Amino acid sequence: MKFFDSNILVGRKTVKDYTPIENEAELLAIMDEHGIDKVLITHADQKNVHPEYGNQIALDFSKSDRVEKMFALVPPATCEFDYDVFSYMKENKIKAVTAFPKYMNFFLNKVAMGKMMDEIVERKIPIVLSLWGDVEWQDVYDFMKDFPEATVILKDLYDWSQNRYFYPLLVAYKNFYMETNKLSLVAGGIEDATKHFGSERFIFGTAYPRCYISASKMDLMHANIKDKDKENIAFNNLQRLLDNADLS
Amino acid sequence: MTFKEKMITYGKVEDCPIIDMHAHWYKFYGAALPKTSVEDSLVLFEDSNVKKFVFAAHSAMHSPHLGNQSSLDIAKQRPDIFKVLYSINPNYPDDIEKDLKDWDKHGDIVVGFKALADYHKIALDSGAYDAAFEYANEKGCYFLFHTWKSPYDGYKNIKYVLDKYPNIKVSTGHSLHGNWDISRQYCLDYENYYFDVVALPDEREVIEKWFSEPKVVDKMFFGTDYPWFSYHYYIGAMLDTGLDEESLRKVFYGNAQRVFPWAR
Repeated sequence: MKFFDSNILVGRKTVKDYTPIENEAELLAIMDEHGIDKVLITHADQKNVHPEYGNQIALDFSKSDRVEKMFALVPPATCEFDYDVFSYMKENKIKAVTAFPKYMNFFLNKVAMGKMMDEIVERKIPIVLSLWGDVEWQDVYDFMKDFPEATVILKDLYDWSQNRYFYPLLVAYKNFYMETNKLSLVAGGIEDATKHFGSERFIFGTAYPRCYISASKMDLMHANIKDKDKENIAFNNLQRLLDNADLS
Repeated sequence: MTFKEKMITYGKVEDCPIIDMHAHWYKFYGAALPKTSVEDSLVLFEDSNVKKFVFAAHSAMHSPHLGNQSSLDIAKQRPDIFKVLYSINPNYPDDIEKDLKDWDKHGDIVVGFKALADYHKIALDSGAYDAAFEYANEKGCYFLFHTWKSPYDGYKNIKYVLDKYPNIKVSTGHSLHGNWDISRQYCLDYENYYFDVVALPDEREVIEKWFSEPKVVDKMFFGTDYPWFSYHYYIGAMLDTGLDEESLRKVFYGNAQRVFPWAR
């Protein structure tokens, strides 16, 4: 089974916690050791420094076609990028965006993100958001209310079962997806979620280096669901979403 | 194939049973937990090679009306696997007295005690648990404590139990969560101190940094807080800690079987 890990952090954080992935060679070695075929990375500098600088650092971190990157956003009204965002993404084959609104002091809503987010939604570009310090549940609910057609991958659930928060979002919004690391932590979490919503709504992730790769991987490999569903979650769903992103 | 490769590939290794020393049962007010039926759990036990499941039901810990009978009712369905920890809630001392009279009337189904002081809001060193401690000390049995940074069941409260009741096999669920250095030191200082891994494999570099030396590994029990956490998630995490096969086998089953005959 092929694995596409949607949740890998690379680079040194300002405040060191978990041993960071320092460079491309280390990243590829970790992927090979754990049988991970592709990854979607965030670079620490995208959050800790500034997106304009961090986005370029993330881009330069690896040229491997096994490593996909994201573009970190800020509200367009402040004109903090010296280039057209969509041209930059097209030129550099970046097929997903992310944002750190709490850390960077802005709202991820209609007023703040305006026409830029409308275009991201229209282009079906996946928007990857993390619950670990970047958005709260209320932010996610507000964002989805403002942009109900948005393709959102929400990652980094807390350790307790969060089904009461995200099951309603999966019911309400057809393009809302959940990353699986802490969903796998819950006994029967993957199985129950797949039973309710089908396997197409879940995206494999490990949250490495904060969490263990074999933990998420082993739980998915041995979940009591069909092999085809495992393949969807492990690889196909994220690849499909990135392929669907319209960068023309 | 290495031990780790076999575990990841097949989900289990036949000669490596899993002894879950910290589990629960039933639904819980704070979360939707998918796997709370005996039928569901037996499937997962088979998939992961779980041979013993040591638990206190949520209903036993949180409902003074239902009490420990709710754990016994589950355990009697598969007494070879399910082992009960009597929940001690010092808000109701009459119930403790009744449970202590009843404790050894169930053969080897009831194997120890569980205290949840952080939720029951009475400190372990308040004197309110002493009747249970004295009983457990006399029997030399397993006593599992929920332990977090807390005025009720933090490291100072646990020290009271360790110093005063040396025959109790004290196990700190969550390993004095956040006070890793103190838990490690207790492993070295107290013969009767043990801890379990529940909430440790959720994030990397705790076990690696604090609990990987041989004398400390000998005190480590496997646990999952089931139905909270997944066997395969926790097993996979343990496999990535860098502990060698001998150490992993101690954690998965060897330590429990060395200390407690009922775990063999």
